Amino acid sequence: MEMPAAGNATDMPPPAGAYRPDRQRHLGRFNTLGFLTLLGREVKRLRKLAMLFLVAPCLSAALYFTVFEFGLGDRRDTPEGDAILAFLVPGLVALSLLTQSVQIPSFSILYAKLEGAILDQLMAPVGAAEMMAAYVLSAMAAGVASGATVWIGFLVFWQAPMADPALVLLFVVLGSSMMATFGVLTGLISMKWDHLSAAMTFVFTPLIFLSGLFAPVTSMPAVLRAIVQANPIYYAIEGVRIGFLGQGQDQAALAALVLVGVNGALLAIAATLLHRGYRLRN
Amino acid sequence: MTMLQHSPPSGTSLVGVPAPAPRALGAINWVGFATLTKREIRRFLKVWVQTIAAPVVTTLLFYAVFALALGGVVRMVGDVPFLRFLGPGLIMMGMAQNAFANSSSSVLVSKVQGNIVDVLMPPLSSLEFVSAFVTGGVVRGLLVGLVTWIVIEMVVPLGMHAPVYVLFHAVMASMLLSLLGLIGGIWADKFDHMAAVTNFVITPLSFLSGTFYTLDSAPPFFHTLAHVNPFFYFIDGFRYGFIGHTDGTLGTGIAVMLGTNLVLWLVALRMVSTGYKLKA
Repeated sequence: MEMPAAGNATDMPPPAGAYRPDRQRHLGRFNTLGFLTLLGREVKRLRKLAMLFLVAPCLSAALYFTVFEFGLGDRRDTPEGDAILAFLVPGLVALSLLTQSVQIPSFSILYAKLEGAILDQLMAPVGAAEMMAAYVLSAMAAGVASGATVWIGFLVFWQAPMADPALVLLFVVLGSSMMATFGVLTGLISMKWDHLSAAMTFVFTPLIFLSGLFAPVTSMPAVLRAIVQANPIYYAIEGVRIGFLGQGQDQAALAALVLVGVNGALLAIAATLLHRGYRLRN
Repeated sequence: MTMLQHSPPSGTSLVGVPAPAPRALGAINWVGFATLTKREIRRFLKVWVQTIAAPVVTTLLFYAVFALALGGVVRMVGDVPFLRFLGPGLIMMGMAQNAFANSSSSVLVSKVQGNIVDVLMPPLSSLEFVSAFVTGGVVRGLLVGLVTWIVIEMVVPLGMHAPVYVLFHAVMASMLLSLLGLIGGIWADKFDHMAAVTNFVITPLSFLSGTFYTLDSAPPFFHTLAHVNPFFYFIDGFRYGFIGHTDGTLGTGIAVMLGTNLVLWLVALRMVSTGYKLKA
C-alpha cells in the first residue's frame, strides 16, 4: 500500500469535527464568550427564582416595617433624624441587597456541585477569572434588583428621598460585590446543604444584623459598638445610609476604603481557590 | 407427594409451635406509635445544630436587634421593662416556627424521597400517624423554647408569674403549629410550596402577633387583625405566664387555642385516613 500524497489529502474536505491545527480557537487572555455564556446561564436561573428573591424580601421588609412603625411609636428621634427614614428605609434596602447577594452564588455553586453539573463548566475553557466574574456579577444583579424592589415599594407609601444617588450606587456596588464574593467562597467550601445553612445562620445573618442595620451605632454599649465597627458590613450599610441622608460624607471615604480593601482580599482568595479547583475538581 | 408430607396440618407445626396468626394490635398500636414518635424525635436531634442551635441563635439575634432598635434598656411597656415584654414573645415565635418546620419538613421530605410508604404500609391508624408527627413537632418546639428561655434568663431575668400558663400555652402553640405543619406537608407537592406557606402565612402571622408592640400602639385595623390571629392569643397568654401582663382576654385565648387545635386535629386525621395526596 502506498500512502496517499500530501497534496491529495488537503484537497479532500476534512470530516466534520476533525482536528484542524490551522483552525484552533484562540480564546485570548479572557474568554469573553465563555464568561457571557455562564453569565447568561446564571441570569436565566435568577429569572426562575424571581419569586424567591424579589417577592419574599419585599414581604419581609413590609413586616419589619410594620413592626418598627408600631413598636417605635413616638420614640423616633435619633441623632441622625427620624428613625424610620434614617435607619429603617436604608436598613431594609441594604438587608435584602446583602442577603440576596450572598445567597444566590453560594446556592448556585453548591447545587451545581451536588448535582454534578459543575463538570459542564469545569470542562469548558472557562477559567477562574471568567467564573468569578459571572458569579459575582449575576449575584450583584440579583442583590440590586432585590434592594431596588424594596426601595420602590417604600416609595409607593413613603417619601424616602435619596440625597446622593452616586454615593448610594457606590456603596451598593461595593457592598453587594463583597457579599457575592463571600457567597462564592461559601459555595466552594460547602460540601452539603447543612454547611450552607450553618454558614447563613451562624455567620452571615449575625454579621448582617449586627452591623448597625436598624439602630445608630452611637446608641450601643461600648463592647457592642466595637464588634459592630469590626464588621465590614457595617461600612456598607453606613455608606448606603450616608448616601440616602446626604450627611456625614466625611465618613464615606473611610467606609469606601475599608470596603475596597475587603473586596480585594476576598476576590483574591476566591479566585485562587477557583483556580486551584478547591473542592471542585476532586 | 413428598412435598405434601412436609406441610403440617393447620393449627400445629412439626416442632409444636403454633402456626403464624395475625398479630392482635389492640385498639391502639402502641409499639407502632412509639416507634414512629422515636423516629420523629431522632430525626431532628441528629441534626441538632440546625434544628435546635440555629433557631436559638436566630432568636437571640432578633432579641438583641429589636431590643436595641426599639428603645433599648430604658424603655417601659406600661410598668414592665421592654426587654421583659419582648422576651416571651420571641421565645414563643421560635417555638412555633420550629414546631411547624419539624412536621412539615418530615412529611414533605418523605414524600419527595418516596420513603413515605415506610410509614403508610405499617399497621398505623390515622390517629397514631398524626399523634406521632405532632409529638415530634411539640418536642422540638419545647426544646427550642427551653434552651432559648435558659439563655435569655441568664441575661434578662424574665420572672415567672404563672407557670401553668407558660406550660399550657407552650404545649398548645407547639401542637397547633405541628398540626399546621403536618397539614401543609401533606398538601405541598414540592419544597417551593412549603417555602411559600412559611414566607406568606407563618412569618406574617408571627410578626403581626403583638410580639414586638402592644396592641394599644397599633391602628384599629391591626387590632382587629390580631384578634383573628391565633399567634396573638398564644403569645399573649404565654407572656402573661411570665410577666403577668395581658393585651387580650386570657379566657378567650384559651378557648380559641383549644378550638383551633380541635379543628386542625380533625382535618389532619381526615387527610391521613383518606390518604389525601399521600396514597395517590
